[in-house]
Amino acid sequence: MSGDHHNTDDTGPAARVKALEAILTEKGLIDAAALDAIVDIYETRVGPRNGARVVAKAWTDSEYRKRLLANATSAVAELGFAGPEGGHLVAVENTDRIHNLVVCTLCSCYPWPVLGLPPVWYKSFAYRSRAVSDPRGVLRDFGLELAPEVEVRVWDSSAEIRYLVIPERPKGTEGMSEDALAGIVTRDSMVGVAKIAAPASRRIDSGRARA
Amino acid sequence: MSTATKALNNLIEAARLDADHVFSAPWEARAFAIALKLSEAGHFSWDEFRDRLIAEVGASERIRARDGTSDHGEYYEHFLRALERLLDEKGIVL
Amino acid sequence: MPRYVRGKAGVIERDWGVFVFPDTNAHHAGTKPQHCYSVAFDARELWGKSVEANGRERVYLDLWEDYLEPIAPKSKRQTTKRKTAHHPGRHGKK
Repeated sequence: MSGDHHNTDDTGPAARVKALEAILTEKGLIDAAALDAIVDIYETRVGPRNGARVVAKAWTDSEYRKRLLANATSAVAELGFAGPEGGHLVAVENTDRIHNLVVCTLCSCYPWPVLGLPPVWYKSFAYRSRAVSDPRGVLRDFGLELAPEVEVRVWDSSAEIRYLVIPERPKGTEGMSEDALAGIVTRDSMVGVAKIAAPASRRIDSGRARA
Repeated sequence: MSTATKALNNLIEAARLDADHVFSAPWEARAFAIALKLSEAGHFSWDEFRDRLIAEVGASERIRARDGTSDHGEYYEHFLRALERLLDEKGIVL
Repeated sequence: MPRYVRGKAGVIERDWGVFVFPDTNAHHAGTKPQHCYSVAFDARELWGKSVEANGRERVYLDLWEDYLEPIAPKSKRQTTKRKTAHHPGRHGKK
């Protein structure tokens, strides 16, 4: 199926969703305003910017880092991040010896409250099958080559637990404020498919922080 | 370059070009919101929905393994089918 | 349960605690509350010795107690468990 998003025939997904919404609204089970609110939340308010704040705080506040590693659900809630798919959150920390990578081989489980909804590649068969069988190959596809002595840990979200990778803090960031640090943490680094590059100059362009 | 690597590379490239969009089309957003809303209202648990989603994803993969095709952006089609089936099973939408 | 770990030996690394299955989930109906464990599998155990890994690659899965069966412990501090084909009615058909 080629996923033609402009298909407007009677059996295309857009028509089916429209019909479903109509029936459910008629039965009083949903209303358009509530749906709009949900879409708004996941399009604009919940996203990797949340996780970036968690990471920046963990980098700058060693007590927070300890709390995050001990109980990520409550540590993340301290910053106001909670909600669906965030009931059992676990933070896994990258070091120079250990690199963590997150996948959901069965579907697309992802830590929504801190990263929002997953990107298309995360949900793809290519990623889901290869992340567990060839993680170093997948990382190469993303432009990351790990030294052989680095241990790769792949976390397959196969039950209720959702994972957030705490990437290594790059060199050259000493003295940066927590806000500025949050600006350089990328979505990809929090899934584990990328590292965060050391800032090229002292002037930080927060536009680079997009995943 | 293997087919799997090529497939993943295409998706990574697409993500770089379109980093900001959570949903590729309005119907995806609607389907997602409907599923979440109904789950929050208690008509089914998200766990139940996920089981259906896993079944749809798995079924499509058996077809793909047979045909050797690669996927792109089909995810919400599995999602919608899972939702339709679950609602049918629950007698919510007949 | 992901198929690739069926019949494989892993090590329980963490106990996430006991989870209760909601009655609203038909698939889990009657499933007893049980532990969910983080189980680590060596890449070579999963994919064979030809893997690039050199002992530096592990896959961690979260598995219900019911999916596991104990095998002879290698030391006092670690218990290795093997996956069985049995599962409490969740997805995972062949």
